[in-house]
Amino acid sequence: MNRNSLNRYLTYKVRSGFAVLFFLTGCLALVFLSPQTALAAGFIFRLEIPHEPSFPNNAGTKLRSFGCFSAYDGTPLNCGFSLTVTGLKSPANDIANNGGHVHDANRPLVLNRGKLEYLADQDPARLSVRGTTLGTPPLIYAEVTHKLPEVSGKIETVATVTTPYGWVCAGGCFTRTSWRKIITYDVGIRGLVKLPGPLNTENPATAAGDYIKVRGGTDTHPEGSFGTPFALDALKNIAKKYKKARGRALSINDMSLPKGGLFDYRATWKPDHNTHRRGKDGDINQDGLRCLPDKDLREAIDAVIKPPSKGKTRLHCESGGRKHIDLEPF
Amino acid sequence: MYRTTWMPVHSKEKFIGKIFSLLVIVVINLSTSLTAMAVGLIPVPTLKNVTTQASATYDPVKQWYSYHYSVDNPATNTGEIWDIKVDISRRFIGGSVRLNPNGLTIPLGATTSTFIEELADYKPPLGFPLNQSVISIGQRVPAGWAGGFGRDGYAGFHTRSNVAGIVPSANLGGFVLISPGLPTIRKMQIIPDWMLVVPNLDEVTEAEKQQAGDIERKIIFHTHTLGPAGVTNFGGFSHWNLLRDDIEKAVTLGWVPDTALAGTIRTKLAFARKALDAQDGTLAKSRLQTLLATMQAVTPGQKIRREAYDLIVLNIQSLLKHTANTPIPFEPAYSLTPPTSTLSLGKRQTLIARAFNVAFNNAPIPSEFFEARITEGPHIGMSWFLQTDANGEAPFSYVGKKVGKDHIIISRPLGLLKKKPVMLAFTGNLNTLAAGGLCWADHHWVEGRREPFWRKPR
Repeated sequence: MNRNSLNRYLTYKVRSGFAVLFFLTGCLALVFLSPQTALAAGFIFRLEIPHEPSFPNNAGTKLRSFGCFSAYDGTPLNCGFSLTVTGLKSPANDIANNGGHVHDANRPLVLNRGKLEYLADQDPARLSVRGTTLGTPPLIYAEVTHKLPEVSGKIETVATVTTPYGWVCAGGCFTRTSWRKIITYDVGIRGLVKLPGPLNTENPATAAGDYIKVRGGTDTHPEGSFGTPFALDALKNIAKKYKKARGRALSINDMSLPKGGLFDYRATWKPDHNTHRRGKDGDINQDGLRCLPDKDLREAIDAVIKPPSKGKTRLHCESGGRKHIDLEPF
Repeated sequence: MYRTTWMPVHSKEKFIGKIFSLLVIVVINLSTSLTAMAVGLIPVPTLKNVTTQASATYDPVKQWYSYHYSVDNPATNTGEIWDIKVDISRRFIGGSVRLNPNGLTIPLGATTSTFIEELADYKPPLGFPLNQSVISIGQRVPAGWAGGFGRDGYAGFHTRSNVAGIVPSANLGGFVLISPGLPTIRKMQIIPDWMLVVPNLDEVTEAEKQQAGDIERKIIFHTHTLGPAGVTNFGGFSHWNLLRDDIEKAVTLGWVPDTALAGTIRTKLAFARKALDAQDGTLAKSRLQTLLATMQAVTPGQKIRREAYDLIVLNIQSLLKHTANTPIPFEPAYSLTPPTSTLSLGKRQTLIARAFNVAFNNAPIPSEFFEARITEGPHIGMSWFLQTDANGEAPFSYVGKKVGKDHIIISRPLGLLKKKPVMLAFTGNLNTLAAGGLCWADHHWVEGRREPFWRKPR
């Protein structure tokens, strides 16, 4: 058992009323070494798992709890704590970390560029909060909520707990009087797959035999053609039928970023594509034919993903001619 | 933390509150239906009183029925017809067809494809719904139109891109379905041109998509027409039953306006069926001949519509041809060999599907149609349409291109499983007849796990 897990174990035991047994066995030495020993604890009610993907939307809220207890008898102590969002996990140019956004200025790390939410002492500039662990009675811990952004990527936070004056840390310590942990939130959708295309770009020289063409990457979003396996299957089948009907490959534009989430194709961190977040939407290039008269496309979509007796439309058009397919499973 | 506060309410207030709630619900429903008809930039079209005509002919050489359709769009409509669909679905396990699909082609627009090639595109998870497939069809289309079929079980005729459909006050024919399937009464959908068109795609809401889906369904004109049936045992009881049921339906649909004629048809068919039930196929056919004579004395028109006429005459002719004079005990059974095999990559494996009559000295059953399909393994989705030869055998083969173990089943519809009516009813339409396992090894021979490959139809 490492120090960290021991720490959590101790916290649980203390709160469960086994403090006496614990002190008689495990912490006797510490007690002798230091007349006033504190135990700083990370998570009491909810154990956060680093790298756990989180759905990037308004509901993506992470709750962190801070508690601090005496190693003698489990009495809650009023320790200091802080939580700081430090930024994107390094290296930031790795697509696994940046979620497919290669335009990092002003990247939102909290929903809508908001703040961490805590009762007091907020520091919007640093995306940081600090306070003490004893809340309003009977609360014996402090809670901080981190509303995750709609943008995918790996966000790092640093949590620190410091002992009250005269106490020292008993386990999993960062310094003699503090405990610290770096936690990464992997914000994104799991399981999106890249739509295969010739060289991931439209290449007239090789595209003659293809039934599907895929958008070229942009500087700010080099990988924008990811989707769920179902969506990709559907799109391929639609493209095959379209090729037979029209004699041309289906030219696919934006789908989703590698980890989904907000797809700001204008690189503004605003929802330019309101959908395209879950790998279930695809834009089709006009390729010389506007949306409304493209009946071959309509028929291909109908044949492959005919809406059930109740359901929404699958293909919709923009008055300017753009085409959009909803590829959600039926 | 949210705090809720409650206070007592006088019963009268409660009553008023309920009335108000009902009013709100009514208003909401009304407004929902109104807004549902106004989503997007394109006005919702009207399509009513569309008239369709269908006729059927039989090609005895190819043993195909051709179904000809024409559609008339009244001037009072605003909708332009761009898609015409005919139900060709069939209830079936295995996603397969029984009727011979060889030679049937579908004009898809830029290319023409075979029915078999098109069917092969429908694989899980985008295959047909469970227990459902489509009947073998080919199509012919008027200029500017294309054909095809979808996983909803409908064959479609649709205008090609940039081609106008059937506008109000116009009429168009030349839509043809070709199939070995006998005539039956099928659902038909006539679909006007409409789409959800919005100023900005990125602002479309889920509610708008839902409304658009509702509109797409509401504007479809539904009717009935002639189309191919899924019955496969021509001359069998299910064929007789289908004709009987179709005649009733045709009368209900008004296809036989002359009630006296309708009564005569019903009576004479029932009389012939009585002989069949008494195991006297010769007498049954003799009585069918009198019904045929009755029909041939009538001219399609006021007394009977062309659809009903062709439906009845063509089915009677098929019954006369296929109903056995003396019923022979018939209990078909099927096998697939070898049961297991292990081959190296790139080798070709030949399998043989056999059909034989266990109720009659295991006599081979010629001209039986099967579908063999790989249902699991690296070559999943591969399928073959087979017909047994004079020895009751249908060989097929394929080359192993990927490492792994394939499970193959052969399947056919229930119609021919005559001797086990109780078991059939119990098992619904279970149709797996035999299965084999093939194992492809990449470097050397490996021992394949033996799989149960054969079981009787349940």
